[in-house]
Amino acid sequence: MSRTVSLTFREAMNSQESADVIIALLTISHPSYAEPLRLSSDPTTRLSETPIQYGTVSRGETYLFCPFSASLPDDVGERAPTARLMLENVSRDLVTLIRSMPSPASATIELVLASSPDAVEIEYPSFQVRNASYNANVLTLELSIDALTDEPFPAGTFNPSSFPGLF
Amino acid sequence: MVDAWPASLPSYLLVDGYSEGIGDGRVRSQTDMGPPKVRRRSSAMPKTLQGRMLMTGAQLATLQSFVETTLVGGSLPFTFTDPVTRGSILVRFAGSLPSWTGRGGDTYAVALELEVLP
Repeated sequence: MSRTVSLTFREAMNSQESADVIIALLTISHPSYAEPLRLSSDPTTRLSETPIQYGTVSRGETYLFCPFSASLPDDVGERAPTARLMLENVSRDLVTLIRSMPSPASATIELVLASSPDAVEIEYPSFQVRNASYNANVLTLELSIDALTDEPFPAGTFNPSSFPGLF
Repeated sequence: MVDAWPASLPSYLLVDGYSEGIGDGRVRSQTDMGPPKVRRRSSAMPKTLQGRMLMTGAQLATLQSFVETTLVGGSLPFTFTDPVTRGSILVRFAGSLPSWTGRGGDTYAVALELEVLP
């Protein structure tokens, strides 16, 4: 799948030396959250001293710095794309948030440059948090798009599992 | 409000043992041939600052109370005087908390390992 990115971004990716920082912005939203959870992979600016907090401001929204590594979604023909995020679990607030979700939350990953954080270069929208596991150090989120290929077709068949009263 | 380094403690580091460095926010990928590729990975990285101070026994007690009580076991940041510019910088104890050795009498050499926060 082709994707249009800015010339600056392409230069930053391909040059021998690059001063531009590529930032991953993660937005997790759920109907039960008053505000979406916004996280950034880069401590672009210091937001406050007590508690000491860093973050990235993009399009007027503040994304809090939380070191995470992301394996970006793949593009394989046979199955729906999946992505994996590993967040540092230093402050345990995220675990409480993840555990409080009664249904899968939706997640969006956006890549921006630190020099122009308002311009989204690559966006991976509409992912669902399918699985969350954590230990003392790392919180791992598995994101995937709702796999329509896993849905049964035709939708309803008169079989013992769907209509047990008939048999 | 961030706590400040206690005024009763020395604010100068000894020349012996002083070292300071730049935080490395780059990522380098080694290539098979030619110079490695270098990219900036993080916008802000902490700098290292290490040094030693001479303190009296009373000052050492103040330091212990500052680290254990005020900084909650050394986990909180505090403001410190930059050894070069004499300006105020925000620092935190890095890998190890302060340690000291006796210099005879009521004098102690205290080793500090700090990280200057961006």
